[in-house]
Formats: sequence, structure tokens, C-alpha cells
Amino acid sequence: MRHLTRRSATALGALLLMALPAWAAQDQEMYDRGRNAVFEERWSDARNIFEELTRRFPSSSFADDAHYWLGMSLYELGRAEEAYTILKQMTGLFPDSPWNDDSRVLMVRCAESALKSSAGRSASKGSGARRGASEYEAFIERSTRDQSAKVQLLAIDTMLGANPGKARELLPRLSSGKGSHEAAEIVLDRFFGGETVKVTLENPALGLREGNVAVMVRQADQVTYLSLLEATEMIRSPGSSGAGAGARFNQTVVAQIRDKLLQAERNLAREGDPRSVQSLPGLGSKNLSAIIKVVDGEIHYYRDEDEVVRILVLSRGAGFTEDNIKIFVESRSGTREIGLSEARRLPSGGAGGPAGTPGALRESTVRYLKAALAIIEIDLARAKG
Amino acid sequence: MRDCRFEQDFVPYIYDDLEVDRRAALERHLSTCHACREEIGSLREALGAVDRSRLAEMADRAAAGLPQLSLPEAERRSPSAARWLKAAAILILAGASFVAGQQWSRLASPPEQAASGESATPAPARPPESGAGPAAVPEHAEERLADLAAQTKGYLRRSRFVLLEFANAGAVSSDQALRNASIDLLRENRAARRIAGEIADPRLDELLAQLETILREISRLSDPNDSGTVERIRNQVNDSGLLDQLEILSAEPARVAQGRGRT
Repeated sequence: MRHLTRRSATALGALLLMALPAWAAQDQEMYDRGRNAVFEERWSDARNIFEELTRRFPSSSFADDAHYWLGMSLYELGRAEEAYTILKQMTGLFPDSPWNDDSRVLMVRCAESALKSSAGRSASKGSGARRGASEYEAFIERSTRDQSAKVQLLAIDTMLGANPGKARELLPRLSSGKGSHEAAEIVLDRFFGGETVKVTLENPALGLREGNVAVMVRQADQVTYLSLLEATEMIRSPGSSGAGAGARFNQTVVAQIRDKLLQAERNLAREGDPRSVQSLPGLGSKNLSAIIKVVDGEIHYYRDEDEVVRILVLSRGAGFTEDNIKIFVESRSGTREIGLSEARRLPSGGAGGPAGTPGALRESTVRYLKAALAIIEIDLARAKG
Repeated sequence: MRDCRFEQDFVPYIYDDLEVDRRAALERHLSTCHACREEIGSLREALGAVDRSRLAEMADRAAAGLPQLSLPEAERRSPSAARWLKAAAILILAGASFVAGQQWSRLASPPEQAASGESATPAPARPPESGAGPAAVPEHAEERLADLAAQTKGYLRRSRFVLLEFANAGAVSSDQALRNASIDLLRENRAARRIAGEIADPRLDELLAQLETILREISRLSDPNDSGTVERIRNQVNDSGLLDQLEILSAEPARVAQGRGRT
């Protein structure tokens, strides 16, 4: 019996040894076929082959490669969420795979694509889709700090596309990262779209207020960031060193900054009845900023919790004067009118009386007022030609 | 030879696409550098390119051969017969040029798409000389990129797949399919660079030049034990940031494709 067992074991071993090369050849043959399908962009074929390879030969030396190309095939077939799951599994199964950086790059693409799909579904399915979306958002956000330069670059590029308001936070990482200089330039090219100046709002509902607006000026691979105050100062007195960093720009660039700021302001404006501000999106939130065009004038509306500011521009053709600009502030203590010259003299730290007393304005309200009046002045000066 | 300053000119030289002065400089160099001559020979073989100088030589020989057979007699009989024979030689030369032209068209066109019906819609063929006026140059980098992608059937995107495989896969030095894919892309590179030149995008042109260098290196890999060369080329891919650039440049067409519900 023992003898028989030994013989059986020997026979089994021999069989295994005979089968091994065939097994090894089979997974390689499958991998080659799948990879050729990738090179020829036959994505359905590639998907079927790599799915079979990962199922039949989970321990193959091609298993991590096959996982990656399966993820790519699914992504190319428009199945980004499945692709994301496969790639996520892959990084867990093969933590030392050379594919891991590229796998995370592909995951960023999948997350972006899945977010777009889930945005459509969330309206109908509610919180489930939203939970999935938050994972993709978190992954992209995390990837903007990834140790691999290419993952970081693509994540920054993706995030800038989805949320340009994050530019002030994201762009400095391009120059501080280890990524290729050329690739970082491409990200800048795509963001600036061939222009020198870009103005973004981190939260459009909060409007043009200090802290919410980023004014960026690109010169070759250098980006200078200006605060709203610096930018408006520079426009009003082009000779001044409005930029805190000591940056000075020629008249063409200053004119571009002005135009971009005004464009950003116009993007916030809407035609209609001043009362329509009550039905604007974001009304339920504590902060809101909007501009309503009325006949040939406009109303700049701002709310910070229970403090509301309305700046009425009676006629856009009448200039930046006391008669043409009316400012009303509503708070718990009632409504009061502030003259233009008084508003412009308000100190930045909040004013109009001691905090908590009737007539006192919050610091954030004062910041809004000063920024809004600066932009209105620039806009009206431009409107008058 | 590896660091030869003329190396960038080898492929355009093979395709007779080099400016006159650079061509002359390279030919002067080739007359003294055996390694570069060998390099060009092996590249020409890898690319399957028709050597135009050899074609012209063949046509000359053909033309020279005709008189040997009949020209002296013909010349004696009738000057017009000699003209006919010269015309025949020219026809042979023209035939050879036609073959070269066809070869060129094939090189300038991306390979046939697979017949699965999955691939992107083929772009219209781009004749080297369309006869129409020059197309408008797209103003924005994004438009120029889309233009290049359309005219080259996603050349950068397809190159990205090959580089991804090269950068990460195992035994690439013995991988004939990877080598063949690199050769195919190398053949298309000249046409892609010409298009990048037409749409006046120096960044894309520079990228395509880098890509040509890498593809040329991959296409020459043949020794399964040459892991040192593989490692060197991989480092070159990583240090040049080529794959990083391709990833970002490929992002937008992919986004557009997804937006169209491409499957």
C-alpha cells in the first residue's frame, strides 16, 4: 500500500510537471491574445480574454497585468464603475505590482467617469448613488496628493476640470510635485485654455467676495495668485503694486484681469425681477450672493445668515456716484441705508458700531461690500467707455 | 553610436524626409561612421521601408540596361526609338516611384482598424497633397489635440497602450508582438509629426519626437536576455515624463468619447 502510494505520488508529480509548462504556456498565450486585442482596440475581445485569464489563472505571473488590462477594457467599454472595482481589487491583491501607479491613474479616470454617471442617477435613486459618488470624489481628492507624480498630475487635471474653484489650492502642487515639467505645463495649458488670466470662484453661490475668488496670472510656467482686493486695486491704479508679492503686470495683462473679473461677475447675474432672488438656488443655505439685472440697472444681493446687503445700481450708464448707487443693509435691528462714500470708508475689520450693537456690520459683510463696490466701479467705468 | 547627435535624424532620413542641409550633414557623418550606417540599415529593415536611393538606383540600372540590349542598334536606326527607350526607362522609374509612393501612403496611414466594429470611426484618409487650400490652424491647444487625434486615428492614445505595456509588463525584451506594435507606431510617427507641424503645435511635435526615440529603441529589442537595455529604456520613459504627458493628453478625447456613449 505504501509502495502503491509512493508510486501514485510519483505519477501525480510527473503528471503535474508535464502539465505545468502547458498551463504556463496557456496563460501566456491568453495574455498575448488579450494584449493584441488591446493594441488593436478590440475592447470586447480584450475584456473576455482577460476576464477568463484572471478567473482561470489567478496565480499566474500575468495575473496583475491581466487585471490592469481588464480594468482598461471595462473603462473603454464605458463600464467605469466595474473597472474601478477591478482596479481597486488589483491594488489589494498585488501590492507590489509594477502596474500599481498606472492602475491608480486609471482609477482616477474611472472615478471621474463614474461620477458623471452617478450624477445622473442620484436624482432618481437618491442617497445610494450619492454614497458611491462620495467614494469617487474622495479618491480623486486623495489622489491629488498621491506619491506618484503621474497619478497626482492626472488627479489635479481632473479636479480642475470638475471644480476650477479649487485652482488656488491645487495649482501650487504642480510646481512642488515631482512630476515631469512638460506634463505640468500641459495641465496649465488645459486649465488656462491658452489665456494669461483666469478667475475662478470656489463657491459660485457666494459670489465675488474676498476669499472666494482666485485671480491667477500665468507667465510661462509661473502662476501668480492675486486676492480680489489686490486685483481691483491694480485695475483702479495700474501703476500700483497691487499684487502683494510685488508682481507688476503690463497694461494688457491688467486689462485681461479686469475683463475676466467682469466676466465672472456677469456669470453671476441673471435677468429678472429683484424678488426672484428669493427663488435662487442656495436660498436654503446661510450664504448667498447674486446679481439681478433690472431694466437698465441691477441689484447686487448678498446674505450672510441674517444679514442682507442690497446694492442698487439704478442705471449702468450713470456712473459710480452717490446718486446712482444705493446701499441697504438689513439685519435683526432693521434696515438702514449706507451712503456710497461711507461704505467705501468702512474699515476692513467690520464696522458701523461695536459688534452686537445696532448698526454694526459683520467683517464678512464689510469684505463683501468693499469687493462688490470695487467691481461695480470698474464695471461702470468700463460701461461708460 | 548610442549618443550620436544625428540619431534623431535617422527615421526621417530613411523616409527621405530630412531637410537638405541636415541630410548632407548626416551623409557626411555616415561616410565615416560604421556604427551609424549599421544602425540605419537595421532600422530600415525593421521599418520595412523602401530605400528611395536604392529605388532610383534600380531604375537607373533598368534604364541603363535597356540601351545595353537595344539602344545602340535603335539609335542607329532612329532617334525616335531612342527617345522611346528613354521614355520606357522613365516609365520604369515612374513605376518604381509609384511603388515607393504606395509604400509611403501605407506608412503615412495608420494600420487598418480591426474588423470587430468596436473601434473608433475611421478618420477620412489624408492624402499627402490634397490640392485643397491649407486647412485653418486650430487656435486652442485642445482643438489642435483633437485635430491630431482625428487625423491619426488616436495615434497618441494607441502609443500610450504600447508604452504602458512596455513600462510594466514582464519579459518585454523577447516580446515580438510588442516590438511589432512599436514598429507600426514608428512607421506612423512621421505622418503624425507632419500633421503636428501643419497644425503648428510645437509641444505635440516635441512629444512625437520623444515618442519616436522611445519607439525606435523598443522596436530594436530582440535579445531576450538584454534586461539592461530594457531597464535603460524604461528609465528613459519615466525620466522623460512621456507617459505622464500621454496620460493627460489622452484624458480629454477619452472624456469626449465617454460623453458620446462610446462602447
